[in-house]
Amino acid sequence: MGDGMCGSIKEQIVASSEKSLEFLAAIRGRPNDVRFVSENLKAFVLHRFFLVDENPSTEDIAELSRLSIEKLLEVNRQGALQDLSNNCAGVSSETMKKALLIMTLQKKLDVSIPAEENDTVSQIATAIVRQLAQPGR
Amino acid sequence: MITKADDVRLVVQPIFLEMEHLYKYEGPCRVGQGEALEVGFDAIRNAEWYKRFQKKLVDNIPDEVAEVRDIIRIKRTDNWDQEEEWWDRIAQTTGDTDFYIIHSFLGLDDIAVEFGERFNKPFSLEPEYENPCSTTSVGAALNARGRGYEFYGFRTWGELVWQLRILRARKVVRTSRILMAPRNGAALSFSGVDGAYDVEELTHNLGCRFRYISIHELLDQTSLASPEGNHTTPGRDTWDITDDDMREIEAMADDLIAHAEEVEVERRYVINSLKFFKTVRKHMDRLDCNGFTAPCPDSCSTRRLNEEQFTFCLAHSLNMRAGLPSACEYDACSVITQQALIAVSGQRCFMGNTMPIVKESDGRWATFGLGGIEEEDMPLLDEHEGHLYMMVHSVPNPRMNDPEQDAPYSLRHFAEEKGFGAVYRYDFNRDKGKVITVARFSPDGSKLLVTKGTIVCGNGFRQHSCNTAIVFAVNDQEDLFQKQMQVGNHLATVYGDYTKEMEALGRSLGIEVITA
Repeated sequence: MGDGMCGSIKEQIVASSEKSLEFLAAIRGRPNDVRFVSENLKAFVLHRFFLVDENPSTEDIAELSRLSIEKLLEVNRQGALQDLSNNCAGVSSETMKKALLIMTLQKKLDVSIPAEENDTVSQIATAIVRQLAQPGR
Repeated sequence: MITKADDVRLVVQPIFLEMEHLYKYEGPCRVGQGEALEVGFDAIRNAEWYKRFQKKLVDNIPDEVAEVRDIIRIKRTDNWDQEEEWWDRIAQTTGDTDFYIIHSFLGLDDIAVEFGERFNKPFSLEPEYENPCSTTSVGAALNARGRGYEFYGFRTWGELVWQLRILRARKVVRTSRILMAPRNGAALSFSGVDGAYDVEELTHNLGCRFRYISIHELLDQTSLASPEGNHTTPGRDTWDITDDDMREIEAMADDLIAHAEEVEVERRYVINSLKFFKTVRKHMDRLDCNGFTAPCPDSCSTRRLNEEQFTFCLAHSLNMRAGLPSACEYDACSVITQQALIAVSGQRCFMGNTMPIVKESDGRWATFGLGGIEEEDMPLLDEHEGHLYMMVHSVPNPRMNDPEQDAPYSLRHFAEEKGFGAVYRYDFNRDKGKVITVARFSPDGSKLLVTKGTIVCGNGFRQHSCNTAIVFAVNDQEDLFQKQMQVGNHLATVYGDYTKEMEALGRSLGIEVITA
């Protein structure tokens, strides 16, 4: 899935994030196919998390969040910390990243992903298919 | 029903406090970008925290320490809601919950403070690294109110669970029920002036309670029932030995004898001692007691034990072997001390007369009862001179090292002439060098002495009568002796260093802890 990006790290992160939206469009185009949705969802997450080159096999969203933070701190520490919202309650970066991901999915796909179904790519894909595949959607 | 210390668990009720913003905005306590400020983001983030809280509870709190109930969720918005419905839900849990763990957050700590004020139940917040700043804030708020709220602050889950273990031990002590078998007065025996002179003081200070059975009624029931009833309870059905009991007793006697390395007591005397044990257990069971004590000299002078040919020693040993505290000489303080030691350690106890081993001015060992020390061990006494203590009674049990398995033991007899009164003998020489924790509650339960020592050698393994001792070295013999006068003669012990846990237990009970 390497796209051969160039430019500053920050530009690459932004570009990867923008490209991620293409996979959501693909999902909207074929919402009945769980496998298709799952693959594109994984691609979305990897682009969103700037993990395309690493392509980790894990499906666990929290783990992917953690890997993303690790990488971002390595390549762009100031940017990684700056771009992640923080507050006095000491929200962990991984929690924030996952919450933002879910928020984006819900908004862009107009679905609701219950907390008990948002831990893995497969779970989220199933929730998406269940809702988008309904008649009238 | 007999509830052992090992089987007591805390009931822990977690509460999850959460906050949601109803509008998108930034300000002095809220910053972010884009979707992090959108309505709905907080719910997703809270759900992640909730799942993490659930997992931490499961991963960190051992099943044997606590039953953890389903989490109560309480949500407020940036309207700063204050709903009485929250308290109604929590109030339903206060009857049987021992400890609350609250997940709090910026903008929610006031709810935690109000919880403390309303219900006055022991609680903590989720450890500090999960709830930054909340523990110190809530702790200070409650401390400032000066009402003695029992609030704990923990840096880590490890600290939290350690304290839960102490609170579990406290629950064991507070809910203990001790079966007492007096002859004359209900308070002290003639050999134990340092016993609980007023058990109401022990109840007041420690929470434990007492149930009674007359020693004569108890002794009457150690034989098969007669149609007209026992002398002390004519015409009444009582808990006498039955044929089934006898079969069980005989099997138990044979098992004890078969597994003993040496047997120097007749089988019939083992059976006699076991009849008493069985009868005691029946009454412990029917009165829901998990500790026992009976007076030795007061019972002895009835001459009934001489006639019926048993002593209480084996019953005490078998209780202690099973993790049930049991003490000689009507010493309720020793019983509850054993219970505390069992509760913090999960180990099995020994108890006895505990005294310093000293020399006279002529250089000879003066302390009585050293004759059972092996000749080759006597130089050890010189080596540890000035630091020696001895704990001696005829109630050893073979599970000091492993609560589930007997170490090698022998059986001997208490009475010298007639040879009755089966007793365990355990050779404490096997455990030279082991660290032991030694403790005792004072006669009124207002103080707890805690110390530790190292086993130097055993004493009395080959002797009959009231023997078997641990000879141990302590850091400061004089200091321990002076402090021992605040608590009494019979100290109790378990293997291992549990001084920190016992001290914490004492503080948790709200009593004075004396260390030596």
